[in-house]
Amino acid sequence: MILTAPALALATLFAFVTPAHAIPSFARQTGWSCSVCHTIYPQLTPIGRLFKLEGYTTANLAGMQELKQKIRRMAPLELNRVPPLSVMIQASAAWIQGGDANQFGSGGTTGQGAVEFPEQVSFFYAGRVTRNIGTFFHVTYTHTGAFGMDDSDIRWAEHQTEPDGSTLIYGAEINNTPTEPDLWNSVPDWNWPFATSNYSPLRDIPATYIQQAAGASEPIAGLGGYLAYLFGPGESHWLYLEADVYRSAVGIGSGTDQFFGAATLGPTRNVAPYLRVAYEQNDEEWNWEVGALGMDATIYPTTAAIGSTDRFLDFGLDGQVQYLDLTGNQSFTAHVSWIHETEDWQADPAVGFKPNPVDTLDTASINGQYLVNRRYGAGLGYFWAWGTPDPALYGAATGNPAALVSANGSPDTNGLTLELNYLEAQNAEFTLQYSAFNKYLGASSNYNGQGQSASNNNILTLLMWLAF
Amino acid sequence: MQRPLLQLAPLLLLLFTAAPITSAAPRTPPKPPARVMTSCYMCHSTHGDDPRFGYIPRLAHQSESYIVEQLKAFRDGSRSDPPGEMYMWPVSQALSNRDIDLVADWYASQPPPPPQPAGPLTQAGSRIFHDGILKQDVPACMSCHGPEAAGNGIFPRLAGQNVEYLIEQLRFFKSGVRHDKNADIMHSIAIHLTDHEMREVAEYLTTLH
Repeated sequence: MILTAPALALATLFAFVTPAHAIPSFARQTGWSCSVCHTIYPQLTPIGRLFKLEGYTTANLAGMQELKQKIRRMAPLELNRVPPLSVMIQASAAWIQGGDANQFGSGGTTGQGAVEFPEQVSFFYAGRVTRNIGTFFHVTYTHTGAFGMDDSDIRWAEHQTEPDGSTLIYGAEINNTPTEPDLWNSVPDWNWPFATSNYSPLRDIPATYIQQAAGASEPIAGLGGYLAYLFGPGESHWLYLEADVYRSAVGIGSGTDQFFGAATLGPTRNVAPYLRVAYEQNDEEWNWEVGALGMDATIYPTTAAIGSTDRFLDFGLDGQVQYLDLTGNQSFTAHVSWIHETEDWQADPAVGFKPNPVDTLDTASINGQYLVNRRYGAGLGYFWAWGTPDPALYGAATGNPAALVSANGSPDTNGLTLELNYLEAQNAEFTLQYSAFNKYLGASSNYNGQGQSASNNNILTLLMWLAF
Repeated sequence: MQRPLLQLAPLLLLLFTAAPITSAAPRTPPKPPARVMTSCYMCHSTHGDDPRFGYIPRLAHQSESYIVEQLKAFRDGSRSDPPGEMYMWPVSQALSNRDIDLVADWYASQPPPPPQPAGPLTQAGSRIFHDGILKQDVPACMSCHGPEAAGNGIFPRLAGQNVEYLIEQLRFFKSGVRHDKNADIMHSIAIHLTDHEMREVAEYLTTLH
């Protein structure tokens, strides 16, 4: 399938952010409850970050069966007595203020609110494979009616202690989503809100390439390595470096749309490098992180890798602050992120698609979540997107549904999200979420020139999440 | 045919002559046991001197026999308290007796954790530790844990321990949620301590080296 130019513009406009969560197979392997590694899914604690750094290989329960070798020097074999399989089910019901016309995900025809059962079903193989190799691997069924690869990685990890007491953890990984290997929830693949309805206008906010790639939504695979240096008193200072190169790959790239299906953007030309650096400091109940990331993706405008290319140059800064009072059973985590993208539309313009030579797009968010007794939670966040007006990307020329058209060609959008969480158990969560838009695609009122107000996209969602 | 001892003579000569040179070379620091590096260090830190959270105990320089006893108690479920059940029960189930000995030896042989600076409650805590609170039937802590809180037999080392860990355990003893074969001793004491007095004695203990 070759995407048309308007389809490309549509793809550029839409952000398919697929939520991902903690999984019980890790709990079965470690014997630890979910709350050792997570506050609420998928927000990681420092122990969870270490578990990920160690390649998901930490295993406390005697779940590994070592098959004794009769021939010396033969490679060892350890197998899980119970395969690390898990299932995750999500369902949702959403009510959008503007009614059917603003239910983008469904084409807007239900007339009775957007109910999804399931919104998403994921099957995981996640856990230790060998002493040094572990997986976080899953496929997801979603509202489109098909299974697709979701954000996954397979990693090899090793560590060593230095004479001064510091620890060096290093690893290599393959993954299908930039920022999926990351340790903090301030990066696109793991950022809050952790779940939204497929119908939510939140998913249609203009997004940078690196955000669009979240949830394995682009046709790329990455090979990379990481290094974490834990130093200082109590190894409380962490320096994290990660480098990956991404290139087009078969079998992924349609996110949850199709298993071997169409991509939202075309393949990469050569490889797209990704770099990440972050610093974390732990101080008793508090820990905080600051980091930067960057990606340089040169992309063919259609799924045929011919002709000239477009270039998306992303640079981002992020931060996270976390308070964990586990004896008092309360936690608070806040994230802040900003990503700037330069879109260099170098490819030969297709018929009907003539963007500016160069556009910029910025996105930012700030949010915080509070959880008490691992049972009741609340979250509040604000989000922004702004950039160069470009009717080819955001205007009527895109062919988008009327509610996704900007009359002035602007991507400018902002609003807030509020949610309340109730955990019936650590693996059963119910969320009531409300998002309100102050501005949508360039204006607060009549943003599409056909009478739509930003508030028409306000959405109330009831979400259910089960994992077992 | 040479006699075996004569065959070894050059080697023995080399060993004896090399001995002073070997002893003068810098000593390679011992490596932590594999279990420490695959599990324990994630919470307790490699050297046990500065755990990741305040409610996790410092294990550096703790009595080896005490660590062994506690790990076995976690493993067979005879020691229980909420964090112990959450974190240590699964961890200890994976430990063999040999693992436990290695882990205990490692942490016991580490230097004592650095003492924390004195705070406004330290002096009051020192009085409780050394003299007890007679009118509340609280005996001096030092009578069991030693004058320097270095531990003694079944009584653990408390010097330099994390404040939050000490307070939490005292509360567990008081409320009765901590169970182990010696918990009754501490329960009978902790029920007479107020929260403020627990903090006082904890803030004193953390200043000891």
